[in-house]
Amino acid sequence: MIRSFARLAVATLPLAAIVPAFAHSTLEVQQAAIGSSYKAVLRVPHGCGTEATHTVRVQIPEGFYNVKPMPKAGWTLETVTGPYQQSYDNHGTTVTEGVQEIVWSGGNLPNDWYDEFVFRGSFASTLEPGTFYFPSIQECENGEEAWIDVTGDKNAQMPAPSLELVPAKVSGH
Amino acid sequence: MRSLTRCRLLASLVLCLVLVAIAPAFAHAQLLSTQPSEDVVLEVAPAAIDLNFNEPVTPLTIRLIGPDGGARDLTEETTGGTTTTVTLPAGIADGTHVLSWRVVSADGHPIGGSLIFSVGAVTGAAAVEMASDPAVSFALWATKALLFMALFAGVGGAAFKSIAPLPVRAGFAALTLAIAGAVIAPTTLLLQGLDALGLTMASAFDADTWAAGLSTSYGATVIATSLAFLLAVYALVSTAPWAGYIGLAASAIAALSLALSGHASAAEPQWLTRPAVFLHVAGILLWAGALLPLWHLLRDRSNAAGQSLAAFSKIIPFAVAPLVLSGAALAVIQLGPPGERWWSPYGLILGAKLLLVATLLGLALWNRLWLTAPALSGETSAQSNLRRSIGVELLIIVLILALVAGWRFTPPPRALAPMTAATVAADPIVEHLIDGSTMAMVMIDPGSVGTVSFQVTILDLEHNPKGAQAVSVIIANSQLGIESIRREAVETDGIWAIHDFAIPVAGHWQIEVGVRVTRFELARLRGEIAIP
Repeated sequence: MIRSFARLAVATLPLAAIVPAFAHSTLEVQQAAIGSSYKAVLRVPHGCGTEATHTVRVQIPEGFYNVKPMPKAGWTLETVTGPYQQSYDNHGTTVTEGVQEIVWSGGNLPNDWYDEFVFRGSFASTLEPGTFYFPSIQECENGEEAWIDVTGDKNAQMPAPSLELVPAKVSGH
Repeated sequence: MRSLTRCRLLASLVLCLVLVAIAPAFAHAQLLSTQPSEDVVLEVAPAAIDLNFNEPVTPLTIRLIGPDGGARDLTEETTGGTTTTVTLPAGIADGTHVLSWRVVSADGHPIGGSLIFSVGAVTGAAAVEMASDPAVSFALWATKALLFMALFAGVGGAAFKSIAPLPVRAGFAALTLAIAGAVIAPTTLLLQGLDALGLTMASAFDADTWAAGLSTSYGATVIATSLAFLLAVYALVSTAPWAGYIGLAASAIAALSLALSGHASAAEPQWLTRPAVFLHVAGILLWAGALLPLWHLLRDRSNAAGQSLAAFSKIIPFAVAPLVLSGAALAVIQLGPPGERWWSPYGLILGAKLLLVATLLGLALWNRLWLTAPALSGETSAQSNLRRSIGVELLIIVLILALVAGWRFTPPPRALAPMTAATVAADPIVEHLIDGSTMAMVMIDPGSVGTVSFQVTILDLEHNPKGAQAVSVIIANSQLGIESIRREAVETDGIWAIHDFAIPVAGHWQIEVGVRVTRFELARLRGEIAIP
């Protein structure tokens, strides 16, 4: 009986949100205001099973524009650019295309080590409040860890890194 | 003993605290390999099974489901760690086994999966008979019997209001039973959940238990039954002239609720069995519900007794005729032609029930043909004989309900017969799964337990073929406590196939098809399949 309760307690730990979800690939800052600029720090806590990660890919969904990734020593940085579905205003300049995918490749991040991958950009003021996902993929020698589940399922095995978009403050900037 | 338990509690708590404290330092666990490996066919049963994880884990629930469908809890026989070793009991049977595991790693994130392996040859277990806790079984039987009594006397009593005014005491008894029923119904759901998962009373507060109870077809029954009880309470309390019709509506819902689940309703052909169960239950509700009020009326020798008795005897043939006919139809479907099957536990319970029913019908006939007319004309001896006879009828009905509650534990011969033949050449099962942008057509061939192949076609919402980078299939059975079994599909000519997928036991399986539409887009299409 007591053991059952103890097991239940262990099983419900994540629900109690005592444990930060360090097990998954996540973003360091989990909230941003609509219309604000945002520095994303993608935390990669482990490899593919036991294998080392050699490539990290991040998808930039529509609505996050003016994206600039941070280069990383030992990794080759590339971006995939393309036209946006909508146009965005960047301090008076209309932006119609930009980065849609960031790729850090040729690196070596063993399973036992931890690293962070950084990029920045702006959230469009036309976005709605709610969860905003940056689907990300770690690639290894013989496999991958695809953090691309955007169903919002609490028990998702591999949820995409996400943050909560909140309405901009009325006072503005 | 008690101090030992305390020790365990303390140790568990300390473990929890330690886990919380060190959690951020760890990643979540992944299964790297197993020994023996997935889907292997071994010549002799292994002494132990090793699950190799990428980091230390603590076992939560480890269960071995054998080819006979019996489940054994091996959590106590499992050591935690990076290599988690499950010591198997000696002499496990030949055939296909499922080791269902659920472990928690240091980050407190429980993960689970199932390992399928076979000894000797690949088989599919026929049906899972969970090793039920005797306390749970007894409680399940007792509450079911009580529930039936509350249903027939409580809700049936409310229905009697539509025939004749209820005497005060009978009304009070019916109200008490209806309220009790509204409490008992959710309790049976809990017990059903415990029974479905093969757990003991200790897990009564586990959310999974309730979810499992609800996920069985019995969940719908409990919701409808509870509604019927609440309506009946309203009908019994209300003094409005139309309260009797509310009582009738409550009875209709009660009859419907029992047609939603159970052995009889599950039998083929469903167009016959479900309406038959409905008519059967509705008939009993009208009949049994009237007995207690009539008994009270006759005892009080009130003036209303004559009118009520007359109204009852006018209506009752319309309840008893469908009751007998539907009962006969169901018995024939469940038992089949005469033979050995008639001597199964199910058949024996039915035999005992029929004997009681025959007595009951005999009494009813005697009441109607010989006692009702003299009682109506005011003969005192006929009235007291009628009252005594009704008392005996009530007693017999209680016995019948106690017997019927026992059916929960005896599968009907109809269900047992095809089990052995099922695996020969079952028709494929086809299931459509869909989300906002992607559809998967899943074919399971043969549509039975044992080794099957999955063929998945990915379509867009206009039914045009849709390309995908990868497709995986996950099946799990929360009702039986079997954790997810996952396989990657291989594409040939636009069809994603998984061969040699072992479905270990029959039942309702949750299925999820994961479609990697593009590199960054994953569609998770979910549904449920019934494996006969």
